[in-house]
Amino acid sequence: MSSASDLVGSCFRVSSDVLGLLIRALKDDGYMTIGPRKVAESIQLEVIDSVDDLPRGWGDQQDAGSYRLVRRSDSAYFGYNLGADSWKKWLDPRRKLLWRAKRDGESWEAEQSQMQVPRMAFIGVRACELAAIKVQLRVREVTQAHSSSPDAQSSTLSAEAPAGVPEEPFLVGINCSQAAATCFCSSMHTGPAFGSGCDLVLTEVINDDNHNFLIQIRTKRGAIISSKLPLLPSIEDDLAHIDRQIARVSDSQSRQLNISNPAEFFSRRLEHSHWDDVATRCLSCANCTLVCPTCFCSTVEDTTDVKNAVAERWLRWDSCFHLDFSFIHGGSVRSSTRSRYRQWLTHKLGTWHEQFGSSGCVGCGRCIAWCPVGIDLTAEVKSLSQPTQ
Amino acid sequence: MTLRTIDDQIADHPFFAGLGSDFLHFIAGCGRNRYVEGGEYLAHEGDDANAFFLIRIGKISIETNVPGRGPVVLETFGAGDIAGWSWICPPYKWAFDVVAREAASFIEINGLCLRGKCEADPVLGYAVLKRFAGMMSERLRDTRLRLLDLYGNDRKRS
Amino acid sequence: MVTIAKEVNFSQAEVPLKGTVVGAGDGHRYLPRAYIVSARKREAADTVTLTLKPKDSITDACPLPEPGQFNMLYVFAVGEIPVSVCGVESDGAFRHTIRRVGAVSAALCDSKVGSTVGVRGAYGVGWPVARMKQRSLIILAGGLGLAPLRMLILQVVRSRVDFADITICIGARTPSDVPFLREIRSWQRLKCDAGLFDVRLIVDRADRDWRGEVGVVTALLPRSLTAPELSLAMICGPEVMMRHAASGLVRLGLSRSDIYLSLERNMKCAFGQCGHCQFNRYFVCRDGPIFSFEKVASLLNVKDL
Repeated sequence: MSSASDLVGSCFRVSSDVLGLLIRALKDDGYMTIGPRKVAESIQLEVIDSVDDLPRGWGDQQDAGSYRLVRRSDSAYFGYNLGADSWKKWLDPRRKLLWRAKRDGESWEAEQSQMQVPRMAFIGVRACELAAIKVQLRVREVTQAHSSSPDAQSSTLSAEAPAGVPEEPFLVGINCSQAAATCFCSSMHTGPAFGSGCDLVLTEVINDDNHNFLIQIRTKRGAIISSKLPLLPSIEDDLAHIDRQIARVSDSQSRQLNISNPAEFFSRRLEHSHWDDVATRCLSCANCTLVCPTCFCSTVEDTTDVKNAVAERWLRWDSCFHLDFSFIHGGSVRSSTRSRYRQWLTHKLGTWHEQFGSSGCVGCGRCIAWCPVGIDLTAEVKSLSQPTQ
Repeated sequence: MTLRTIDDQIADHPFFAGLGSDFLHFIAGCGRNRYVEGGEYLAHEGDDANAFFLIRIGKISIETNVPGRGPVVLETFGAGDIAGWSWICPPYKWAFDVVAREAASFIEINGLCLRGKCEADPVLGYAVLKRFAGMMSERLRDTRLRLLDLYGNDRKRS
Repeated sequence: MVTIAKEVNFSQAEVPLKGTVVGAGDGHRYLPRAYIVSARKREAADTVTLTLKPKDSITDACPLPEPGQFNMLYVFAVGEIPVSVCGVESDGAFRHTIRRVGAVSAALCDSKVGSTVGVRGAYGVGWPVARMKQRSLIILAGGLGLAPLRMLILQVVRSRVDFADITICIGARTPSDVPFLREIRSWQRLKCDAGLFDVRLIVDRADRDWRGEVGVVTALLPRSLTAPELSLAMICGPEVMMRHAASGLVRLGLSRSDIYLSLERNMKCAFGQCGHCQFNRYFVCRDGPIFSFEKVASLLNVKDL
C-alpha cells in the first residue's frame, strides 16, 4: 500500500456504500459533517450523521420564481441541484454575539465573545459554491487589508483575533450531473468544472445496476481521509466520463450572463428606464440577498437585559433591500425599490469588480428561483442592454 | 497713487466685462460716488426705484419690516456686489428696503438714465438685461438653497 | 495490472483555502474601548461637545485621529453611531461635537460628566493634509459641517506660514446655531503678516442682534481667484450645499481633483465590511468620508444612489 500522500492527484472508483464510510471517517476524525438533507419540501445544508440523512432519490425542478422537489427515477444521493441554503450560513453565521458588557454604576466594561467554531466537513459542495466561498474569502481579505489603525497599530485589548483560528472546513465537492433551468455557472466561468480548493471531488455514476462514485483526491488532507476507504483503481474512461459529464452540464445551460466590461456597463446605465420596470415587480423582500452565496452585508444589534445591567452586540445578516439599510438622520438614502434593486444588481455584477476584482455573482441561479415574483437577473441585464425608453 | 475714476471702477468690474468702452463711459456718466453711515437707508420699500448700487466698501442689507419682529435682514452684500434691480421692470418700485449695515462707499447708478439708453439701443439693452438676469438667477439659486433649510433638524420629517 | 488514472495538469497537492470561516474572530473589531466623559459643553440648543478620556490607561486608547477621520461612539444599551472627531487634546482626549438627531445622539448629548462612553476608531480617510502645504486654502463649512473641519483649521492656524492665502467660510442656520462661535471670533481676530487670513461667517436667518452677514454660505466664496491652480478647497456640510459649493469652485477655476468634500452615509462597522455605507464603488467609511470632487462628482448627481 502506498503512503497517503501518494494518492494526491489520483482518481479512484468506489462503490456507493463508501459514501457512508467517508462520512464516518470524517466524523471519526472529529469533523462535524454537514451536507444536504431534505427538510420539509426543500434541500437544506444541515448536520448529517450518516449517509441515511442524504436526500437519496430526490431531484428538484427550478425556474424563475419556482422550486419543487421531485422524485427521481434513480436513487442518486446528489441528484438535486441547489437549495436555498448556501455554505455561507456555516462560514458566516446568520447571527452571532460579538461582545457582552456589564454595567457597574456609571461605568461598564465590554468583553469580546469567544465563539467556538467546530471543525466542519462540507459534503456535497458544487463548483459554483466553491467559487462563492472564494468570492466571500476575497471580500474578507480586502476588508482586512483595509482594516485600519485600531487593529494594526495597537496590540492591546484583544486587538488580535482570538487564539485558536478555526481549521478550514474539509470540502467534499460533487460534480453536477445536470443543470437546473436557473443555472448559468458556465457563462460566469465558475463551473461546472471545479476550481481548486476542494479536498475531494466526487462524481456520482449510476448505470443500469451499478451505483458508484469516482473520487478525485486533491489535497493531502483528502488523501489521509481517503486512505481509510476501500479504494478501487479507476480506469482512463472514468476521467473521460467526468469530462463528458461536465461538458454536457455546461452545454445544457440556457441562461447566460455575459457583460464584457461590467463596471462600465452599469455606470452608464444608472438612470436607465428599465430600473423603473424592475421596480414595478420587485417586492423588496430581500430573498435574493439571503439566498445569494456571496451577499455579505451585515448589521449590528445592540441589546440589553431587562435590568439594563448587561448589554450585548450581535452581528446579523442584513440586506440592501431593507428601507432602513441606508438610513441617515432624516431619511433613507435609497428610499425607492428602484434604487435598492439598482444598488443590489450594480454592486453584485458591476462595482464588485472594482472593489474585489471579480464578479459578485457565481451563476448559481438561487436569486432567480427564490424570487417570489420570478425576477431573473440574466433577463434584466438583457433589458438593460437595450437603449433606455 | 491716483484716484480711480468712476469710469475705471466700472470698467474693472466683472459685471460689466465685455461691454464696449463707449457704453461703459455712458454708464459711468449715469453714476455718482456716494458714502453713507451705518443705518442710513439707500432705498425704501414702495418708493420709486430709479437706481442700483455697486458697492465698493462696507456692507449693505436688503431688509423688510415684519410687524412684531421689526426689520428683518433678508440678505447682505459687500464689496464688489451689485444691489438693486427694481429699476429694470415695471412698476419700478423698490420691493424691499436697502440699508447700510455699516458705513459704506458705493457708486449709485441712475436707473432712469440707463433704462432710456437700453430702450433706445436694444442690442445694448439685451446685453445689460442678460447680466442682470444672470445675477438674479444666482440670487434665486441661493435663496432656494436657503429655502431647503439644510442645517435644520430633520427629525420632524421622518 | 491496473493503472491508477492520474489527472492531467494535476500533479501537485492543492492547499485548502485559508480564512474561510468567520464564525469567530470578528468580535475584537467591534469592541468599544471605555472612555470617560471628562467635559461637556453646550454648543447650541441641540448640540453638545463631549471631551472623552481613556478610562484606564493611554495604552488602552484608540489611535489619535487625523483631521477628517471619525470614531464610532457607543452608549451603553442604546447603540453606536459614527461621529467625526473635532479635536484631540494635548492629553490624548478626543473632542466630539454631537447633534441630537436620533436615539444614540440624544443619549450622547445627555451623557453626564464622569459617565462611560464606548469608542472605537479612528476610521476613514481624512482631509488631504499632505497636499495642503504652500497652497491657498478655501475651507467651507455649513452647519455642523464645521466639526470635522475644526481640527484641520486648528492645524492650519498653528502652522500658518506653511500656506498661502486662507479663506474660511462658515454658514449656519441662525446666529444661535453657530457652533464654536467663540473660537470663530478668535480666528477672525488673528493677525497675519503672510497672505490673507479671512474668516467669514454667514447665517441663513438673522435675528435682531445679528450684525454679521446674511445669506447662503456659498455666497461667501471669493468673486475670483488670482491663482486657482494653487488653491485647494475643503468642504463639509449638507450634501446639497457641497454640490453647489463644489460647482462654484469649479467655476472659479479650481480643478475637481483639488476640491474635497465629506460624505455622510449609514455606517455600522466602519471598516468596509457591513456594506451599509456603499456609494456606488466606494465604501464611504473606508474610502472616505473625505473624497475628492473628481471621484464623486458624477455620482452625486445620481438620485438615491
